[in-house]
Amino acid sequence: MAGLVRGNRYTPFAAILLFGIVWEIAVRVSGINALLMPPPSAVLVRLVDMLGPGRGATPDFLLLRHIGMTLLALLIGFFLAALVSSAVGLIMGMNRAVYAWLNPIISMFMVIPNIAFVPVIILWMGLGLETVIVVVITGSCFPIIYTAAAGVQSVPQRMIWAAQTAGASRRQILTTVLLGATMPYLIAGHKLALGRAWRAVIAGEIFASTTYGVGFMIFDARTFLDSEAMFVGLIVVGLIGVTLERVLFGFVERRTVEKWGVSTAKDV
Amino acid sequence: MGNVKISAEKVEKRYNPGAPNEVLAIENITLDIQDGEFVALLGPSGCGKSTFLFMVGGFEKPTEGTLRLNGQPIDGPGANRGIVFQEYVLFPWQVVSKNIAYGLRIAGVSQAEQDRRVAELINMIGLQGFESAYPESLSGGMKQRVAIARALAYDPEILLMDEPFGALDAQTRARMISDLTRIHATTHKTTLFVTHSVEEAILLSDKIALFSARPSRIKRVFEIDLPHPRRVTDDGFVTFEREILESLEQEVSDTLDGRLDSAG
Repeated sequence: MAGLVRGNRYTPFAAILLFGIVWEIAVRVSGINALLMPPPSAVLVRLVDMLGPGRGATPDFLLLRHIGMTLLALLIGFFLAALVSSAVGLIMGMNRAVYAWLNPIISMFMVIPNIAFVPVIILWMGLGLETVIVVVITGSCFPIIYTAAAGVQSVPQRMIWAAQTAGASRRQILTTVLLGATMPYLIAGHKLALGRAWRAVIAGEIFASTTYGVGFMIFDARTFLDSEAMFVGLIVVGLIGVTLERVLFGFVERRTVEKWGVSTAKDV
Repeated sequence: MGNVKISAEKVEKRYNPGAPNEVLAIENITLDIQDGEFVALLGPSGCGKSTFLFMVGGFEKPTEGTLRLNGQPIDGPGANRGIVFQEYVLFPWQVVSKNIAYGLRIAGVSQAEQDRRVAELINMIGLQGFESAYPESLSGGMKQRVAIARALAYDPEILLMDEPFGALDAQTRARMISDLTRIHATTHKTTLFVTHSVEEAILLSDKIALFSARPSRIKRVFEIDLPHPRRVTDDGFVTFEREILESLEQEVSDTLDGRLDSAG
């Protein structure tokens, strides 16, 4: 019990449970209008209900359809961003001139909130999945480029000398030294980018989605004053976001940088 | 034996030539190193001995004079040399055996031959049982053994060592010195060994090139004709040590004076 209070592996669950209890009590004691602020018990019932078969005009497994569409847009966008941005970042790190010319531009793009791109992208592409994917790309490409370039520049000169002395060509230095040495940075960058991509896909769906998607669901529920569905959406966004960042990249980190004993920024 | 392996003729090295922050690191070095010789480059810190080593490695170019390897001017790094740094610089994402086999993989040697060669080297450096350990889990001395094995794996003609034992504790250093003596006796690799430890230099070398304070010249070359294994208590050791220390102290005080002058 003392360990739980000071913080152990069960503390996160207990903390979330306590948060739910406080929320429940607050709603009930204050007598606030449940249309504006539903109690978590009602939200959970609604969440389970939305996972099951539909009623009337509501299709079956409605929540899963929303989640599936969101994950599809996220994965396509993130995958495209990861592929292109890693390459651009590595080239920037290896070539002084490319770095000197691209870095100011990327630094400027990085400080623009991702959501500010959305109206422009809608203007160009209209509404739909493609638009959401492009929003995800703009949200996740810059952290990857930036950290990949920083990673290459952090490789000790002597590590490259050691490889050159063993007879490695430029191409071999890239594949046998730079990629491995940059891995902690690449992982940190992709982790950060996936978090950004998740925020971007929800924001993108709120504005640009017309059928399914968790972001669309939240926005659409507002039209019907369906606050329970809105809170279901928020909980789903939180749960999946944490899972993506901690669990997925926790796994990658355990298999690579932690095994190698290389330090990396743990919680970006 | 007896052939000149590395020959430096009036080598000069300036950094940022022509710029206001120009530094003359090496003024004039002329030095011949014979095939199979173990030569220590000894001098006060910041005297340019590592710079000279890096020029032999092909990472830096002399601004004047010529530096030859087997009679050919040195033009860039290559697999006929192996290098060991003070900070080990192993590849942290590869296990010990992969680190050692690096140069063999680069050369496209067959897996069977790689395995055979790695086993031989693991034996030589006494790291049996650590083949699949990651470098981070090893002590400094063990890391440096792996770095030496990595540099020897592809059988280079010359071993370049930049203060390889500088970061090790005294006991580990003593073990490494006797191991390196043994390795040199079996491999007969021409070795350039940068150090600021007079003790290391006398214990290991056939020849010690004493560098002057910057801008450096070779102040004097000592032929260390003592039999191996050498001990710090041997009469011959003590005689050389006294002689070299006297010569070195002069350079150290010149270096410090220079720093005081530029600070004032």
